[in-house]
Amino acid sequence: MKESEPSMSWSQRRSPQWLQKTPAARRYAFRLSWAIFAFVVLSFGLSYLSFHGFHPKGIVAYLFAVLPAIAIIATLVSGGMYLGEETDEFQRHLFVQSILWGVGGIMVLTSVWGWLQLYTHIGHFFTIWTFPFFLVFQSVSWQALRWRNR
Amino acid sequence: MGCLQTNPAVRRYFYRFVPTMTAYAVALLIAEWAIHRFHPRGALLYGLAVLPAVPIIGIIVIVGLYLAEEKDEFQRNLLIQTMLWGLGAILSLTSVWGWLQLYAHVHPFQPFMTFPLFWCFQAVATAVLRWRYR
Repeated sequence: MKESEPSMSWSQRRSPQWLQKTPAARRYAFRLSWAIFAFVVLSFGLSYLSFHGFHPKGIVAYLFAVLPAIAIIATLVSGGMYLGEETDEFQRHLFVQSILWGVGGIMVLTSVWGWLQLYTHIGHFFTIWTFPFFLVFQSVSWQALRWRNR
Repeated sequence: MGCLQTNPAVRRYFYRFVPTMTAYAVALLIAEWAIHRFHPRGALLYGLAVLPAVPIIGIIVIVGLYLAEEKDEFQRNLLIQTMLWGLGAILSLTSVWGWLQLYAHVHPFQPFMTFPLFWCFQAVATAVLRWRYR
């Protein structure tokens, strides 16, 4: 029987070099997963309550609306912690670039959609989607930048 | 304002940032005027809607260039931190607003306000962090 290498995780053995993560990036992925999990649970929970006739008023409505934003702040804090912990300056640089692409992507999307919303019959942009779209833009550009600089 | 006189990267950043932001404002005005004046349809309307987004890409590229050119790591980190705070604020605002739209039936948020509001939040974060690190 072939002995497996104990120092390497499953993902490290299966991943190509450019996909392998530094310890700081692994910690970031762990924290980000929990923050996204919290965001998804809170968002689905609120949607479920809303569809089932739960429409709180006044301060309670505001408190419920703020809940998913706490998870959003947690994802950005985990990004800030990654930048503080990452010792590889090049990886840090790629991460910052990916945030810029994420910001650019979301700003272009909301700007174009906003104008089209005013002057065409396009549906309203539901602003709850801003954060998931940012995450998609940022994650895709991060992996693209890592692949390009592999 | 001392840093503006001494740091070439910051100077270049502002020389690029100010005209591009002006181009954004001009593109907004042109798009607004042309849509109201000519009532275009189809591809032309979509083209006019995309017009203000071009300087937005320019601004993001300018920030990227500054981060590449800035030699002072502290200044670089400061900009990154302020961008993260600006981003956190705008994403939280849009999320909270979205849920309030659903629950409290508040007026819909105009998506094109995301870009100017992001820079407002970033400017506030810059002022706060500069004060903190004074």
